[in-house]
Amino acid sequence: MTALPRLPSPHGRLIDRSQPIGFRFDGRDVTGFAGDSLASALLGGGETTLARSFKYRRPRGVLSLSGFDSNVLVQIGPDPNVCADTLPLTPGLPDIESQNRSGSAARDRGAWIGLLKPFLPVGFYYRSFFRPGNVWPRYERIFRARAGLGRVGVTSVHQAKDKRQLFCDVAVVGGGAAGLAAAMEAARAGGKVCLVEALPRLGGAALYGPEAALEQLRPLIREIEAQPSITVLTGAFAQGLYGDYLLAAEAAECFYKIRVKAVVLASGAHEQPIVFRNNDLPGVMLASAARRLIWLYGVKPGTRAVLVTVNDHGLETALQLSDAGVKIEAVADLRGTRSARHDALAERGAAIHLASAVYEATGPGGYFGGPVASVQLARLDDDGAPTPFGPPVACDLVVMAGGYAPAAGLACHRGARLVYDGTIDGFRVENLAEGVSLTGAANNVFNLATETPEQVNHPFPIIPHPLGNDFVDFDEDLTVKDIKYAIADGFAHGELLKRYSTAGMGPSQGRQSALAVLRIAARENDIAPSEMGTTTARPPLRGESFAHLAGPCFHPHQRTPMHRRHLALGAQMMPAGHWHRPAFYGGPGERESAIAAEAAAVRSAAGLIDVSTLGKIEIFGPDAARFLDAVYVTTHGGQPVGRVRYALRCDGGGSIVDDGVVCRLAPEHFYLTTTTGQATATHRHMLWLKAQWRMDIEISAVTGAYAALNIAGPVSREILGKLATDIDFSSDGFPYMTVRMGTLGGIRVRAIRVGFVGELGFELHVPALYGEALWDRLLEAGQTHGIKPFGVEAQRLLRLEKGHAIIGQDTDGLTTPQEANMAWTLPKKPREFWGRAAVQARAKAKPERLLIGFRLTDASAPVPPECCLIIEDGEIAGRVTSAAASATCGGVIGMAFVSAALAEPGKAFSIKLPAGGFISAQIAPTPFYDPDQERQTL
Amino acid sequence: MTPLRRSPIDAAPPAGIADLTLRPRAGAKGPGLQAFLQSLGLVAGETVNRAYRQADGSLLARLSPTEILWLGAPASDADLARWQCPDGQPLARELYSVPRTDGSYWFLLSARAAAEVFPRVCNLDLGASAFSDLEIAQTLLARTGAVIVREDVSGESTYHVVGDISLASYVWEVLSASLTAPHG
Repeated sequence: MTALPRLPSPHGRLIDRSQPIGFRFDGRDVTGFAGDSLASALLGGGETTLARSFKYRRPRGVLSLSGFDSNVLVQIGPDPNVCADTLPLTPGLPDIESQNRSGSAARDRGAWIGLLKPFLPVGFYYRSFFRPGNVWPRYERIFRARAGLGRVGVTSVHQAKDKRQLFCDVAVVGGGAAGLAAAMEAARAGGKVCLVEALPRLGGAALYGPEAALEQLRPLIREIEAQPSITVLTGAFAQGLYGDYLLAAEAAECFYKIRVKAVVLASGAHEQPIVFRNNDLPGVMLASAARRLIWLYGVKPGTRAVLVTVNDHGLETALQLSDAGVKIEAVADLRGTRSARHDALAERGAAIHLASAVYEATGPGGYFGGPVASVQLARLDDDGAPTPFGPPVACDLVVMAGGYAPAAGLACHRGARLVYDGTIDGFRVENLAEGVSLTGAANNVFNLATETPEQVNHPFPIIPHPLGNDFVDFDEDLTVKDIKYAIADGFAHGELLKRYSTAGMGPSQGRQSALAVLRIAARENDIAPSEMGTTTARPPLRGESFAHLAGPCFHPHQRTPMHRRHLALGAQMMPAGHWHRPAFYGGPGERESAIAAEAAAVRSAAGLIDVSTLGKIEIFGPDAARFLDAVYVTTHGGQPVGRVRYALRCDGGGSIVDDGVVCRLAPEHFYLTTTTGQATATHRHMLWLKAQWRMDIEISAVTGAYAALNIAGPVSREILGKLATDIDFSSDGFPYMTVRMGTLGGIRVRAIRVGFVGELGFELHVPALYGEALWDRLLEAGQTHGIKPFGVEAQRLLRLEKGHAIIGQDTDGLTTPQEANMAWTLPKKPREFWGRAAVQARAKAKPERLLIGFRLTDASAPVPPECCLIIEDGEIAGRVTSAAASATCGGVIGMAFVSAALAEPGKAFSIKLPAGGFISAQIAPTPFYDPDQERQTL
Repeated sequence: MTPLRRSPIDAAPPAGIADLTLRPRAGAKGPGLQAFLQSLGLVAGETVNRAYRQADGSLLARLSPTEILWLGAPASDADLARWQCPDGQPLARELYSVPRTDGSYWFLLSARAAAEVFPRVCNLDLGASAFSDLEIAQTLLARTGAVIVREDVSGESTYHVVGDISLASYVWEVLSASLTAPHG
């Protein structure tokens, strides 16, 4: 097709002729206008062959121009399968390529595959390549290379479209006459309405029809656009209707999640093709597509047209084409009755053939194929059997008006079914969900004035051809014969037929094929079409981009109050759940030396670590002590005020899930910490238990409310002494495992004396917004004492030297207190606590494994990563849970789970390294460092 | 010298969002709540998820029958002391302090900003017609827990957003980005 000038106004309602836009398609320059879709711009630019078919590489052009077929999927830069029908033409588009071809859409070097069609009947894939068994990989390579549509740009940049919630009482899908009326009615009734229209303007089918029909709607459109209770979304496509009345709609740059109470589907109907030989050639299109081209975009789809129709809509289209300057050569009407419209077309020179159809369309032939050049007509007898007559009719446009199927996919997403109704020779919708209703063409009402179903369908608009290529499903290149073969193979039921033949499984999801497949299947099965089942429709209605699905990504991240300080000190941050924590302070290449220096500072002088990520919970009330006794394995009922106790929590199965410390601040007030990872779970568990046990307590999760800093090291007390305080930090005034409240450096503080890293140390909890100030004061005060901030990695090393287990790292989901050498935490006197029965039952059995400490025999051996297997006598005997090189301990130390038989000091075993090879280790007593606990109790 | 108390938010606020994190606020929970409020001369109805305006311009947000969030007015610094108690002591009989003062961020959104932001980050309908003056939503905001209170001031709707202080930077970034996100 040669580019023709665009039709004058009022044709081309959507385009702005003053804004030409250039782009490249298959290496050629094309020019369209702002407002064009990509497909209309291509047709307007003279391109008729826009793609190649999926299976046989047949040339394809515009079919529906509605975005509901796979004929015009193109590759735009890294994005495959972009629908040219609906993509707005905008300046700056990357080079556009047709898909499924070698060369170009018009000249596809791979078109030879079509010659194999007689040898590749439906189901050949299933039947041909499964044996002999070892040959499949060879086929697979070939198929993989040819399978799929388009190429995914694996290096493309991350894209995320906007995502918004909308809330309304009624969503109306479809901005045509029926949708506009429904929206206005709902608004007048006081409802908040959202009107979703895929086209860029309201008007629906009237937008692509003569001016009179649109003029009738304009007052209503103006009223709706001025109505504050109606939100109008144009250019938005309703993709799916989900549970709880969530309607998903996709616009170019936004994905809308519309929460509604009721949905009115005024989504129109899908026009159906007529099946005849070569009905897929470029230039053969639906009547609605031809109308869209002339009215929306001012594109003349051809110069000489043949119409094949089953209804008056086709005749109307031919008249409109004729008005636009297209010569109507012939009209083949499957019906047998002549009307005034026939006469009108005859007066314009069209040959009118009743009870007739197109028997065959013909292209230019040749290796590459091409657009339609002529058609052969045929008369239909009473049974619909065709008899060709007359010479071929030369044409460059064939317009098909084969009837309609309701566009009710959204209703089907909520359980509605399409059923064949013999009275209208087409589908109607049954089993509508509550709150979902249909109006207009979606309800088979094409004339709102009469509000009664109109006869727009034909019982069998299918003209089989003995030479085939009479396409039923354009997506999968399925012909009448393919459907017949599938049924002959025993796949007669609609669902089986779909899966075996793949009819309806392509991008168009059967919108242009389901009706024809059903009619053919019914005839082959010798049953009425209404007895054939239909298949299930699921969302989305058509392809969605990952960018729309992804939307903005919400990944919450928590920062401690000292976050800015860590960054300023050059910390390498690491994730700990949602938190960011300093791993160590120094450059990425200084990891080992930085960790060693930080650990050395703690052992020799002082270190300061941010432990704000610890979970923190406050328990108040008369039942607080009783409650904690019931939650924890450890005993807190008799815990004196001002004392701190280690706390261990098990689940109902008797396995360790969390630990921390419990501080008694007052008789009815406890402040406790949890592991970072279990903060939320422990709080939630406590809330549940409080409700279950109806205890007189209040629980507050205060993790974020308190900054927590741990100053540790032999000179930490001296550093604290340099800040003004009303707390006695002396050994006698503040013994190990006690808590004090007061002020430090002018800041209210809860000071807890604990020793996780095995040195004299104080955990200082202050209101979060004061965290930075205290951090600065401590570092300043400790400057002359050699204080260093230390990170998580140094802390892990230091606590390992002390043999302190990290719950969740050195334990797993099944570890008992006995296995972790924590049997000492169990209550001395019988009492109830969560998981008691399981803890006690498991305690009766001898542990099969134990958590032990080990040293590598060779001090220079590599540090085995966590989870390395422990091997004894060639058998797996456990796994490493922690390991690190310790300068203090003079070698590599670690912790591991080993079989109980192996867990004796001095026993040797091997550790298998991930890359292969073994290293020798020996079980060693813990703590590795300061076994008499002298340093932390200074 | 570092100021003793500092908001985690350093970034300049975009139009329509303000950081009130350093403004006075407090929380309390427990059966003795009503008596405590009366002792302070504050008035709060019993309807949960409802805020109550006080004569001094502050707001009392009732989060549950026994929990309250007090959002102080700009000049409420002196009043904050009435919500504080020695550490380890109950605030009043059967009433315990919830550390909202330093444990939460506090942002304020204009009506225009809220209309842009909330539909992008929250699954609740917080539109003007669905979420009335002094109504409270305890909900998720970009996957984090938050308390949202609408307060109409001089005929203009404003929205208080209060959440865990450790999430302040994240929520601020999300709100700011949502305010400027392109949309169809």
